[in-house]
Amino acid sequence: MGNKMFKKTILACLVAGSLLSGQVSAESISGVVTDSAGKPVAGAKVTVVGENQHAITDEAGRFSVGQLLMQDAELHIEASRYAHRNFHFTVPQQGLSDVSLVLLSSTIEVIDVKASPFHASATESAIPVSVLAGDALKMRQAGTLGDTLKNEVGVHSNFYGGVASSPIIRGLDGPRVLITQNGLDAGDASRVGPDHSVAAEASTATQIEVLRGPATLFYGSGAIGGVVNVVDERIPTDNSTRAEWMLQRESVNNEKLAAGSLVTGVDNIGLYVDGFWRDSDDYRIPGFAEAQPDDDAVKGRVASSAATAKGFTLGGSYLLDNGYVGVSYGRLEREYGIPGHSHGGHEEEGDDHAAEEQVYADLTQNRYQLLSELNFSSGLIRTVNTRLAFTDYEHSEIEGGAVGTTFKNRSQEARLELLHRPYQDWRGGLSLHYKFSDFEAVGEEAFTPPSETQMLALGWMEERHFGPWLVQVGARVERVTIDATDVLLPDIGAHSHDGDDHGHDHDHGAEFIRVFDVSQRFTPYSVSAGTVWDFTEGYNLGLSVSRSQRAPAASELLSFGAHIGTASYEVGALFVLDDDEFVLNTQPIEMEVANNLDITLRKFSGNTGFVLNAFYNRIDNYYYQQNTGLFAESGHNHGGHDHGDDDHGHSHDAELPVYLFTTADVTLHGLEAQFSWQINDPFKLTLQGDYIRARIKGGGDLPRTPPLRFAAELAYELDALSADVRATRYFKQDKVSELEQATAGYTLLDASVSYRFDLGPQQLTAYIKGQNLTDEEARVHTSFLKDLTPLPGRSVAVGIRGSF
Amino acid sequence: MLQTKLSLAALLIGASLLSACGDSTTNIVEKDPIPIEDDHDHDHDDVSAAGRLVISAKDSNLLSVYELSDGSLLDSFAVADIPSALAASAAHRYALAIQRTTDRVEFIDGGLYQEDHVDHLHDYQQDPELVSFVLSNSRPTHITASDSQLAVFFDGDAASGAPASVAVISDADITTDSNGYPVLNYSLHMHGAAQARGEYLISTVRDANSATTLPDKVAVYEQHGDHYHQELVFDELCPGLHGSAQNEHFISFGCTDGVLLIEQEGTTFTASKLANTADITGTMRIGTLVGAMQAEHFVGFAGTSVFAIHAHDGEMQLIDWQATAGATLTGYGFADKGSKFVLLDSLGYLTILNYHGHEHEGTDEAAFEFAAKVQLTTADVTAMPQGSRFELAISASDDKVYVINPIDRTLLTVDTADAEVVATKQLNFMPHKLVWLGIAEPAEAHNH
Repeated sequence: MGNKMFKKTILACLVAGSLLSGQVSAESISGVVTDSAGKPVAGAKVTVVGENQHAITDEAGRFSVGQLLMQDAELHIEASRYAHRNFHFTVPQQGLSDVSLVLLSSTIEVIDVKASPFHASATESAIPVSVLAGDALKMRQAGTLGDTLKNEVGVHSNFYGGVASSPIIRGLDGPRVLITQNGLDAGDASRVGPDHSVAAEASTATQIEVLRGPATLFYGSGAIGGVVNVVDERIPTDNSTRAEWMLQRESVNNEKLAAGSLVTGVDNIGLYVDGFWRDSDDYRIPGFAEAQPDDDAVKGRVASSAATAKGFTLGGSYLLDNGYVGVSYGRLEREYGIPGHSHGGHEEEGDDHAAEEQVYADLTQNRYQLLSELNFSSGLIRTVNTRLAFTDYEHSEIEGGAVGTTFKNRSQEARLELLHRPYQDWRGGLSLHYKFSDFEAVGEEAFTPPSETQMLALGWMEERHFGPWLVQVGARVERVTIDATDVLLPDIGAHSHDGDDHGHDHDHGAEFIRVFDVSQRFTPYSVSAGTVWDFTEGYNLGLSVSRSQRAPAASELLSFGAHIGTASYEVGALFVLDDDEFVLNTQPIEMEVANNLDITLRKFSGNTGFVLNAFYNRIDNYYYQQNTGLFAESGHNHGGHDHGDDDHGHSHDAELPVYLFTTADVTLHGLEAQFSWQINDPFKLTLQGDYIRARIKGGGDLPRTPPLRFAAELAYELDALSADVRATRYFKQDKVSELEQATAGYTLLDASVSYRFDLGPQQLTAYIKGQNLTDEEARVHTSFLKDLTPLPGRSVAVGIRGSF
Repeated sequence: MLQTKLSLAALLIGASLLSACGDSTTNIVEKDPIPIEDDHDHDHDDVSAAGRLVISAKDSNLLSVYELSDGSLLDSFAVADIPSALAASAAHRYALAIQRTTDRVEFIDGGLYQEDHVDHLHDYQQDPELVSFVLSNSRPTHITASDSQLAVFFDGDAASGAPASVAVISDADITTDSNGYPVLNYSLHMHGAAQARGEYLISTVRDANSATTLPDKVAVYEQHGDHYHQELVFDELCPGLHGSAQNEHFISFGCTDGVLLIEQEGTTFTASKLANTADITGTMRIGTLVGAMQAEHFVGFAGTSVFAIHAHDGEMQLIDWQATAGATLTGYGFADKGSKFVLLDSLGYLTILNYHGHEHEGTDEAAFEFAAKVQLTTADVTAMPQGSRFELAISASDDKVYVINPIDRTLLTVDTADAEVVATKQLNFMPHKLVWLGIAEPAEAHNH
């Protein structure tokens, strides 16, 4: 935050300002924004904190904001290539004019995070955050959220054949990383399986924020590893007419993308509409899809990796002097192949017509949101933020034209933040948060029984400046209930494949499926304390300690069935293995408890800047899937082994390894570093790297841990032209879990060139970007499909985007 | 005021939450267990008598094979292109996936078949599979079957100049992936029809100068190894020929002016024309014919007018199937081993006619007698998806008829003896075409 440290300068400016003030308007502030050399900064955004108004500085750096509600005004100034600054004023009746606000240049791109009720950005936060926005977002947007964010420091993609990749934050994903849309749960099924796509779209987003490390304080259990928040303007906070659009074609998968959004309005009404369409074929690869290809494997493409998606959003808001209230409706439809879903089976040798298994998912989501921010000039409450969401999600996995499994998630969420007026210089407030999810999976692959999860939480957060120290503290307690009326415990005839007893009989027929009505209640809490210390100008040190608890997700507790997405038979922690047979777990179900320490050192002004981060997480009762060494029938009507004829020697084609959710104490620690150097006016060099180690107490490593990674990017930006070239080295990962193979390192080379020009009132950018230019065959250690789908080969995309 | 209340509420909730901080409880109640439905219940020595269905998905190249004894999906297969039609092989072992526009016919082995073990027939049941055997020629269109042979008429294509041809195959050719089956090659393209009669093939002839793609003559061809020689062209004309059928002694072709009947006696073929009756008016004509080996009557269709055609007696009689106004026919055929004839219409009714032509020869009783009309759906038939219609498949082994209803994506089983829908199965895809596969006359149980 760093408000305090600037106070002296501002005071000086302020005095000068008021002395020189000529004509003044009531309760207004006007002035000029300059850099440290006194050069005016054009295009800086001056926002009145706590009020729904902002101004953009003109060519001479001038701005003016009026009709201020409060005497103690705070301006937040942001401008590209400058560090953000906050300025405090006590505005006299006659207003303030000619104030001079000085920004310090920064090589670190600084964009405010909307996911946190506290003001936060990459350079001003106790916990590390990063934001992808603007042109960078437009250049990196991809069909999946994981692939969009994979170049962010500390973030990897769990690359699921380019169709369902979701982000991994510091080695954690699934039920530990929360995906939100405008701060509200994405409401999909992506936390349950890696083959389930995230129901959010990058091409129409204005920014995507990543909170690395526990964010349970704001978001609850599901955010113990971090949060990815996709932000768009679906509920506009102003109504100045503007639009953005883009068209792109990508060579590696023939992806065609068209996306656009428009904000407009009249009087007090703001309106928003966006839409996108993307369509891709199976993507090309330099070699075989499988790490160990069959004799009849075909080179060059990954089957079932095509996708088609389209969606639109409509939103409207009522703009008030002290805030806004708005509603939106969004619809998303996606149809995507599920690669790597092979069954062996009926292809005969030398059969030219071997049927390609067509496996794909068909996803539909309807999302309704209501967002509001109201600021009050008097009374106890300064601001009331309200967020409501209702989402209706469904996706079907379709195999051979027939629906295998349908996943449904109907969820409702409400969040109310009451921020009080500063008391003894403490700023903060309470947050009430309610979430309900009715989750259902029907069909062959219904490995999780239907369940209802409810969460009610109360959080409290405060922050205060003590000299150069900004102190942030918070606590949250929640109640999570999981109700499942029909938890099934079948006898699956799990058996080991040791020895040669292929004559095992599956012993069907005589048994019963046991059924349980399960209700769970958890009361997890989180406490956190952090500080940002501005120990000298242009630097700060962030420190955060926290303790978070997480209630295990329904899928981690109640699962019992074949999950094709992970090619495993999953059994939840409600069950335990008793001599090759699953029985009810009579031990209490523990919550996951994470103790975290995070240290961040930043330099954010001048020609060079850096962010160095070290973290240490100790997680007790970490839920993970342990390979039992047993195998069970997939129950998947496929190989047709149950009609076995003597001439079909079905072996274990349709059998899956059985994984049991169990808990262990684990330690995750790592380093993240980012360094940027503005070499001269057009050239900027950025270096970044991240490293993580994930160990199980008592020996062993967690599976799919991201490898050590370094990236170097040289960017050129002058007038209408910008270009960059980026090399990323993923090192070999040989810290593997039991039964996991090491993955070789690889280097990816990307480059892009953009040219900006105006056409009438429109600013257009034409660009060409290349990815994996060396056509490297790369297998992703963090992917469930490592041995089945390598990264796409060389790809060139051309596109044009415009805005006005 | 409101805010104060909210804060109070928040504090109360907070207090109640805090009281159990860090706590977790689990409450499990065991309910009545579910007996496992044994889905492994088909004794592997038992061969499905109900047969199997192959159903294509709309606008898709996927074909799903269902076991009718338990309704289970056995497997799905992707053929090269979207099938325009499905047909069954002569012995109902294979389904033909006819891909007209891409000039290909692929075959799915339904897995149910019979082998002649000299002293007995032996039934087999296997997993369905997509077989290697494939027919590739220009525009495969009309498929006709006898008890042992299948004639696949390739129309050829005026645009590409590809001539027509006829491939005559047996189930054994498909099983052995043989390419020794006989083919009749024409020099012209035509929208023709052929009927296989053992060594002989009765097939159509088109005048090279004709303005239409429809043939107007019929010839007899005799097999010579892998090809045919033309033996005889009948003088009797059949203008605008469309539609053909055969029974034990006759082969029939639909013409604008009547029905051309070819009678076979040993190796002798004679042609005669049964002229249109007064019931056929205006532009009406018989354009579709259905026959069955053991049935003396052909059934001819002129739009929604249905005629019983007795070839031997040279009679053509209108069948009163109690048509509803506005109904068009979307499916038809002999059912229940030839003792019934069914008509499926666009309003969602299955009309069942009793056929006793072959039993009551010489009586005054109508050969086809209205028995019942089964309403298959209460859905609004105007909600029929564009390009879809009710379709049927007829079991050769029992009295069942299977109908797909694209409106609600269901598969209906109709018992034609009881005239009622006995089962409805929800499909998870949009069905398009279907065909029945199985063993028409299961072998008697025996010991080896």
